[in-house]
Amino acid sequence: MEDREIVELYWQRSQSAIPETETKYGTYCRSISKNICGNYEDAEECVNDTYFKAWNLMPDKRPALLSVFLGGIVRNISIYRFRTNTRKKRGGGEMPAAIEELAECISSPQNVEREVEEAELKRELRRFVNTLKKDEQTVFICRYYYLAPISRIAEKTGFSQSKIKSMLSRIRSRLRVFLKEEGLC
Amino acid sequence: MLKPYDILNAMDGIEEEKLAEAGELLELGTEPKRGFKFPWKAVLIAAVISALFTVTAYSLGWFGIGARSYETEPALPHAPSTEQSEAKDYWKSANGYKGSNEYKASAEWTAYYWKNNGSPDADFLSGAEKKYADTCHFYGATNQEMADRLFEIADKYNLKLHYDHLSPLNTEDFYNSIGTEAFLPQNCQSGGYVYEDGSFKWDCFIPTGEPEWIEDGLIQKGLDFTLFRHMAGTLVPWFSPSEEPDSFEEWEYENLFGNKLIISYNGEKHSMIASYSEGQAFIELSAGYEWSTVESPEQAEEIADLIDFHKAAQCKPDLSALRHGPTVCTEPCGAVTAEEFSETPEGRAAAEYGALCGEIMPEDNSKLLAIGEKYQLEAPESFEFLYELSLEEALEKAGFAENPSYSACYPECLLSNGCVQFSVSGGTLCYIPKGALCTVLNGNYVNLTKDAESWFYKTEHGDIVHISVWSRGNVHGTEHKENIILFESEKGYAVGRADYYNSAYELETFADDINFKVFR
Repeated sequence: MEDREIVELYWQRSQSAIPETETKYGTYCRSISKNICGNYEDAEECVNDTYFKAWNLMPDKRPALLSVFLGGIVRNISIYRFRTNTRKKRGGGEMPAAIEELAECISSPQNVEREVEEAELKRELRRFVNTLKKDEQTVFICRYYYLAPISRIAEKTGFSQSKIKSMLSRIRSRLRVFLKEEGLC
Repeated sequence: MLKPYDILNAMDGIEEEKLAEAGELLELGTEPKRGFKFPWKAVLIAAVISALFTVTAYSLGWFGIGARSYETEPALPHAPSTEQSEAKDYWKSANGYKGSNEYKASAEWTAYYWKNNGSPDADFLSGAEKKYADTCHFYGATNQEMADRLFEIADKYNLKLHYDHLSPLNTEDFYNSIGTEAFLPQNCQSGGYVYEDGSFKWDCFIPTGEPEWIEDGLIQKGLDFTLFRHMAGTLVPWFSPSEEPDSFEEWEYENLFGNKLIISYNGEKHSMIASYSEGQAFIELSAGYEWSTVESPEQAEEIADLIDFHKAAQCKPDLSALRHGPTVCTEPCGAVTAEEFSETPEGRAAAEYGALCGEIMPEDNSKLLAIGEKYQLEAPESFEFLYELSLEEALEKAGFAENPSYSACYPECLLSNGCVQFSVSGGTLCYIPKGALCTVLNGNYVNLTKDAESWFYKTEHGDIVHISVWSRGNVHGTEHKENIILFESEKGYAVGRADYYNSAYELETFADDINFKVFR
C-alpha cells in the first residue's frame, strides 16, 4: 500500500491503519528501535507506542514520507526508553523517577525557553549537515539518527570500518567548532 | 548547557529526504538476526552518546595543535611568519603541552632567540669544552649572552640540553643507535641525526614512479616527510614554526599498526602533522612542502599509515654504534697509502693544479698543459656535466657498466681524459685513470700531517682501502679534520672524501658503500 493511502486510513480513523502500518513499516521501526534499546522486548514496546502516537498525531499531520515520520517517532521513544532503563540501572533512586511521573501530569512540562533552544539546535544541526559532503552526510545520519553500528554502515557504504570511524571523528571535530561558533555550547 | 542527548534529539531536524535516503541505504529490517540478546545492547548507544561529546583528553583539546601552540611578536625577516595574521608568529612546542616545563621553556627560548640574539661572536667558543661548544651549536647560541640565556632557561625549567649528536649513515645504523625495531617503509630513503638521549630528526623520502624531466633537470618524484622523536625533560634544539591553530582540521586516527594518533591537517597549506606520545617519547610526523604536498585528509591518513609509531617510541639509545675507532686490516696486500699516492704523478699533478686553479677547465689552458707535460700525464681537453642524463645514461657515458655505489651515487662531471667525479652517499668520489691529469680533485691530501691517523680497512665487500684523517686546525674554536679514502686498481685510483667525520664510523661506512670492483 502506498504511504498516502496508509495516511488516509489514519485520517479516516480506520482500524486498518495500524495493521497496514505494521505490514509495511513494522520491521523498519523495530530495527531502528532495536539499534537504540538493544533488545527485542523493549523494541517491541517502543514500536507499539509509536503506532499509538502516530494514531494521535494523524490527523492533523499528513506526512509526505511516512518512513521518516514513523522513524522519528520510534527513535525518540526508544531514546527515552533507553535513558529510563539506564537511569534505573545506575540506581537513580525514586526521586528523579517520581518527578518525571509528576511532570507527565502537567501539560507542556517543557518551558518555552527550552522549546526555543531545541528548535534553534535543530535548525543549526540541519545547517551543519548541509555543509558536509554527501558521503559524510550519509555516514553521520546513519550513525547518529539511526544509531546504526559501524559495521552495518561499513557494509552498506562499502567503506572500511576504519574509514567510517575516522570520518565520524573528523565530523565531530567540525561539529564541535560549528556549535561553538554559533554560541550553542 | 548543551548535552549530547540534545544533539541526538535534534537530529530529526535534518531534511526528511536525507534521513530517508540514509534509511534506505541501511535497509533497515533486513539485518541478520543475532539472537535474543544483542551483545552491543546498551553499549552501542552509550558509545554513540559518549563519542558525540567524548570526554577523552583529545576532545577537551588537550592534545591538538592548540594545546601546544604559542605566539611571538613578528620575528626577523628570516623567521617564519603566517599569512593569517601578520601581527604574530605561531610556533608549537615539540615535547610538551601548555603548562608543562617543556612548553614554557620552548616559548621563552623562541621568543628570546628571534628577538634578542645580538651579533655573532666567532671566537666565543675558543678553548671551550667540546660538550659546551656542541650544545651552543645545537641551539644556535652564537655569542656568550645567548649561551648564558640558554643555560639559564634550561636551569629555570629543570630541563636537559643536548650535548651530543651523530648522523647514522644508513637505516640499520639508525635503528641500532636509537634502540628500536624497524618502523619505516622498506623503500624509504632517509637520513638525519640522533641525540644522546635517543631524540632524533629523520628526513624521509619515498620515491614514487620513475624520474621525470621537469624544466632543467631530472626529478624523482615522491613523498617527503620528517619524523621527529623528542623526549620529555629536554629543551628541543630546533624551532617548530606553525600556523594559527584554527587553521588545522584535527581528528583522532588509528593507523594500520593500531597506533592512536592525532592528525592535524592544514588544507590551505596542504600540510599535515601526525602526533603520538607514549611514555616519555613524543613522535611527530610532519609532511607537506612546496614540492611534496598533502592533498587531502585522506592522503594524510595514508601517510600516517606508513609508520609504526609505537615502535618509533621505544627508546634505548646507544650511539656507540655510530662512534668507534678504526677497524684495522692487518693484511693490506699491497694497497696504496695516501702518502704513496701523493708521491705518484697523478697525485702530485692533481694537487699542483688544484692549488693553482679552482676551475675544472680554465680559459687559458697553458698552465694545465704545462702541468700535464711536467708529470707526463694526459691533460683534459674538455669536460661535460652529466646532470641532464638519467643514471644509466650517465654511467654509460662515463664508461661504467655498474654503479660504483651500493646505494646513492651519481656521476656529476666527466673529463675527456676519463676522470670522473661522483656524488655518493655521504661524500664525493673521484676516479683518476692512471696517466691522466685530474682537475677536479682538491689535493688536500698533500697536506697530510705527521700526526695523521691512517689505517687499512677491509670493506664489507672485501675491498682493501687506505683511510687517513688529519687536522686542518682550529676554526672558530672548533677543530676541523680532513680525510681521504683511497683505493688503487690496475687501471686507476678511486679517491673518496666523506663529508662528515666524528670517528672511523663515517669513513668506514663511506667505504662500505662503494663498489670498488667497478674500478678494476
